[in-house]
Amino acid sequence: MAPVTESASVSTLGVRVRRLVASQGEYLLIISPVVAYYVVFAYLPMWGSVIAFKDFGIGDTIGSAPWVGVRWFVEFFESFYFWRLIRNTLLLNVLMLVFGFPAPILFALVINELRVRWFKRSLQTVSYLPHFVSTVVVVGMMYNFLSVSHGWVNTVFVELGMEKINFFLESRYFRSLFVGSGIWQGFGWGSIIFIATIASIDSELYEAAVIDGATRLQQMRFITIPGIMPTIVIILIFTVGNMMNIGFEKIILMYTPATYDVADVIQTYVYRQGLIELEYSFSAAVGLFNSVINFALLVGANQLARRIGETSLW
Amino acid sequence: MTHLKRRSMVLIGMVLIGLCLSATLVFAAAQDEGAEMGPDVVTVMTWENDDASYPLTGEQPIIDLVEQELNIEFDWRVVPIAELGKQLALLIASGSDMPDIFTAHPEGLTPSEMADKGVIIPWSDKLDAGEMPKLSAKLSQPAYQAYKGAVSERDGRILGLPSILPNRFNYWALLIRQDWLSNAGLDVPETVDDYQDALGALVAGDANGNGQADEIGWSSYYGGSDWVVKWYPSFGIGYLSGQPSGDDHYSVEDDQVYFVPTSDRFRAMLEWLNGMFEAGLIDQDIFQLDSPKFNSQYQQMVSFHLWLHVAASLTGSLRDEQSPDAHVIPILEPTSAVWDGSDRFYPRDSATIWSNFLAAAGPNTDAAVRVVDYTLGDTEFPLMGEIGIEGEHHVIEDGEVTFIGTWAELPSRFYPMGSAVGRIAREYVLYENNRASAVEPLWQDVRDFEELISPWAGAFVFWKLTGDESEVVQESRKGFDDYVDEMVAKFITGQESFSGWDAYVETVNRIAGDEIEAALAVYQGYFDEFMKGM
Repeated sequence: MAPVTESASVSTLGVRVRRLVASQGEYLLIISPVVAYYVVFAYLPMWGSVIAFKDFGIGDTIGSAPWVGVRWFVEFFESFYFWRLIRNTLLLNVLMLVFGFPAPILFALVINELRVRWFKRSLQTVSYLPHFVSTVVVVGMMYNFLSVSHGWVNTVFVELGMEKINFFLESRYFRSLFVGSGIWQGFGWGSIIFIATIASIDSELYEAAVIDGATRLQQMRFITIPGIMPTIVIILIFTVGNMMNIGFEKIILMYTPATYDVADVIQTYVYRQGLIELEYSFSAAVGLFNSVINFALLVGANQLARRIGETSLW
Repeated sequence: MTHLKRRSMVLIGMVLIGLCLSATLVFAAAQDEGAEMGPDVVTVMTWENDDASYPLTGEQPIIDLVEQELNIEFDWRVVPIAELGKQLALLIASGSDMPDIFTAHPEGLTPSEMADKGVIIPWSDKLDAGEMPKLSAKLSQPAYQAYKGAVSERDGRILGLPSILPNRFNYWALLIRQDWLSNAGLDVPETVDDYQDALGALVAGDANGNGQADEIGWSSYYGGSDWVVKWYPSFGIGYLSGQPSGDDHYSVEDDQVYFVPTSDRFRAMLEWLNGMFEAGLIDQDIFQLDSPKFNSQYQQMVSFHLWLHVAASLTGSLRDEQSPDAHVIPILEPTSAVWDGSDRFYPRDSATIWSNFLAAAGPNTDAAVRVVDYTLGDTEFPLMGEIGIEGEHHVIEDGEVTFIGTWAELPSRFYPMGSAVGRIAREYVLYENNRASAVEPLWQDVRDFEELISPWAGAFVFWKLTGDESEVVQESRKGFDDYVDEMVAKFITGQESFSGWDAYVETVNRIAGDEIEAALAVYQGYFDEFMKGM
């Protein structure tokens, strides 16, 4: 009986696949490049993570390198830099989340309240521009503005009788510069999705609220914000899930040895150890550890969102 | 309607896929065609002092000459000097897109490790196989035996072919604006305190006379913490005499290798640099500097470290660009409270760390071998690399060479080419008789200085570690490198007080004490062996 059952099941599967292709073929065709992209560039490379458990060096293949178990993980956990990297990574990302995440939402709410059409449009356009400036250029601009020798900021300080500040050499300014420039570069572009969501809120709700005597602030509080809340939650989950990955290239451009204590994060450490010092296995272990934390954050944020509200990714 | 929509979408999908396939086929065909039709392309990855835009083709007749002679075409990848090691590391890590020849090695990978791991093909393999007849013949001559010994590893292999500058001093000298010193009535400083006072006076006194407070006391060619090593000599740290090549964390004193960053001499140096920095006499952007930035502001600098021979070309450039009285001179390293200057050392017969390496994964190894055999082994070419093409760059009358054209066209500008594929056979006599005579009196400063330091000249210690030994040293660096860099920057900029020195030393020992001991043993073993052979 077993072969008959198996054959029937295969046949059923075949029929279902054929039906799917017949009914959704064009959609499958369109989505296939995206699926191929993720298979080739996201899933297949996962095999390479195995070098985190091997002693992989130049000239080795993944298969030929000897197994070393969790040696690199232990070495990293016992490293002098471990807690500092964890602290810096989390702190910079939490700061970006706390200050950077609300910025586009607030901007979208402000834009929604503006009634002068040309000013609203101009403001939106100007706010999008920094998004199109590359990180290298943004950091270059910061250097030029803040340089001790020729930056206009320090020139103004001197004119005002204040001391010059070496912003890029003093650890206490690094986080503010990083977060501030990140907000400046991203708040306009990030607000697009919220502005679009606000535009999709039924205008009859606002009309009814006006008839009931609601002020602009009350309309925002009781209609606009609840209207965009599902979008906020989804974007928040995505942001939290990507928390450990943001902005490391900007850190590489911004940091100096004098600011390692506040600026060095897991990814910059992986870059130096893996790609500059060529410690591939060690950096793969550190990178894998980073990804595990990221995954845990994503799952945790989703669970939290599901418990608190009704919106979640899965 | 739905049916039509579906048909349209299928059609669009098919067209897109078709376009992708066609583009791929056309690209592949073009690649094949290029590979079959043109001359052999030799990819050379090298560095340039200014930036990545220096023209290596079109305006360089000598490069055209090599291309014609060998039926090859150079594909230059020129990157700023401070970036070359990093970019090579990335290429090696990716395992693809390697050049045929490259002229440096990544920080974390020594030449012997590169050879052991199959990143490079030792030149000796090609010499032994008879694939480099010109160079082979040259290296078999008695005059080149010392050179051959110097470039060979302990196991006899030749991994890279570096420049050897016979009978010349080849090191980073302390340079200063003599014209500004003279204008201010100041003598050449002899101690670090005098030096600091002189810089202070020139920076405060508008030395360049433009009415702006834009003078920079001392600056560097490199950012990060690498520049600190240039001040080692003034504090008795054997940067020039016994420092393992490329490793500024270890040095030699009284035949004993020691760890520099926790030594008293190092502390004395950091304290002085801290004073200089806080007095505004060190470029305040020093930790973010790179070579393009240095080149954009050297006209404002009172003093800096650069290759000794650059003093002449800088004077020439400054006279063209800034003032006809501009004059950059090399000076003896100023003494300090911990170093009286009695044991000065200047390396003679030194090899630069820049070598021509043959990449195992290079796309056109055979042509690369031909290029190196010609540019290094040919009897005529090395001279051309030095003085250019007759009629184009110089004329010879009665055996005397006279250069023609402007300063910018002088053969010193061939350096990228020379660094990449030549320069090893620059006989001293030719150098003295030809190039030096053409740029008098600028070269006279360098010649005079070489005369001055001659009594302290000595043989350079060539540190040639095996792959295993290099790994031991590398392991020690992994532990302390970032922390030491960070603390050096903090001590110099005043973010960390010197009352925290003991805690710093303790932390370094805690982080990597055992690994440092192991590295010291490796270096000491090699040093002892080297000294026995002297």
